[in-house]
Amino acid sequence: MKTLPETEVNTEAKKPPKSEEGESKSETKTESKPETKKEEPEKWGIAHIFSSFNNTIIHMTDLTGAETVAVSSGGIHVNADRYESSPFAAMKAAKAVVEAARTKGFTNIHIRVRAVGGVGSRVPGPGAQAAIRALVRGGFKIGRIDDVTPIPHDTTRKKGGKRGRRV
Amino acid sequence: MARRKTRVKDKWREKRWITVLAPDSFNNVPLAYIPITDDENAVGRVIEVTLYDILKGDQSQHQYKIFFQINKIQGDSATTIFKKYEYAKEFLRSIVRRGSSKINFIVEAKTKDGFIFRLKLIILTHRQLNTSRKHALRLIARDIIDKTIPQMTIDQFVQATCYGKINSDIMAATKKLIRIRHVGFEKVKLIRTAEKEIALLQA
Repeated sequence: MKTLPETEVNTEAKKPPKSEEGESKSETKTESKPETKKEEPEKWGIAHIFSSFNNTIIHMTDLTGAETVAVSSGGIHVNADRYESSPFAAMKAAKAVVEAARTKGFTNIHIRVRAVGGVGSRVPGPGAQAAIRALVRGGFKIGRIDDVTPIPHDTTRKKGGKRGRRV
Repeated sequence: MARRKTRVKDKWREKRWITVLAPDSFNNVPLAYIPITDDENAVGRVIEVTLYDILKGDQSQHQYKIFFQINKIQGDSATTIFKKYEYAKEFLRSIVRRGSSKINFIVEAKTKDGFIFRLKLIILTHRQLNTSRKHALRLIARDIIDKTIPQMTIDQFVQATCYGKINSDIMAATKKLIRIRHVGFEKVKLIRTAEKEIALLQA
């Protein structure tokens, strides 16, 4: 029972990012330009996307970051651990967030993408692209798209020792 | 699960929506529209905006981030204080280049009405400078900061930093020494407000 849906997941996950990567990039660029005007009825939020190579977490908050609107992650939507960070799982998570945010009346969002950072990877994982795409598709107006990966000025030593990780 | 869901929804309905206003130095422009549960909780929250969001001028103003902190809530609106001013990460990356010197200078300054700020100045040159020139540049910058800032009120200071008035003063002063490519505050951070400073001095 379990293996069947996963194979479906796999095929679907590989399709969208390959064919539409260029498109989504152009979308994000054009939409970051329009002015971010704040009128009373317009409700702005911030979608924090934390994308590692093990999972994707999408956390939508208000502009201060203090009030949570909706949270979802890749791991909620797939069963196998190795698909938690997949673009498909990220897309599902983003859709869940979109729905929840919609019901609460949010129409505009800023996006903050974050990789692991620190001693870890500074490149967002595979889910980031798909998550951004799904948010844009969700009908929100997009303000800014920022990269907020924490980058240290001076780091502690990366784990693995002098000779690196020996597999 | 089902029970939990209903509880969350109820919580959200209780929230009150308020507008957050910029401080006097930015003419109390509305910055954001946020949900809160109660007044006490909301004090201390920080809002990040770009200079463009406030002024609606030209595109280059996207490069400067300003942070405001909520300090008081009156009815449907909240007042804020200036918390931080910062270059956007991408902007800073784009101006720093190989083959030219980067001179950092960190100094604390006190305004006329007792607000203490930490200023991080960045100066970029056209070519590499020797250390004596770098020292001289820092001296000039310190001179100007020491001369101008203690005579400003908080509002004047915030405007001067955000609109780049102090930068151009320093730029003009350094012209005698050498022509520089860029000068500006990479980061301006509020260390203590006037009230806290007074409390600290009394203690």
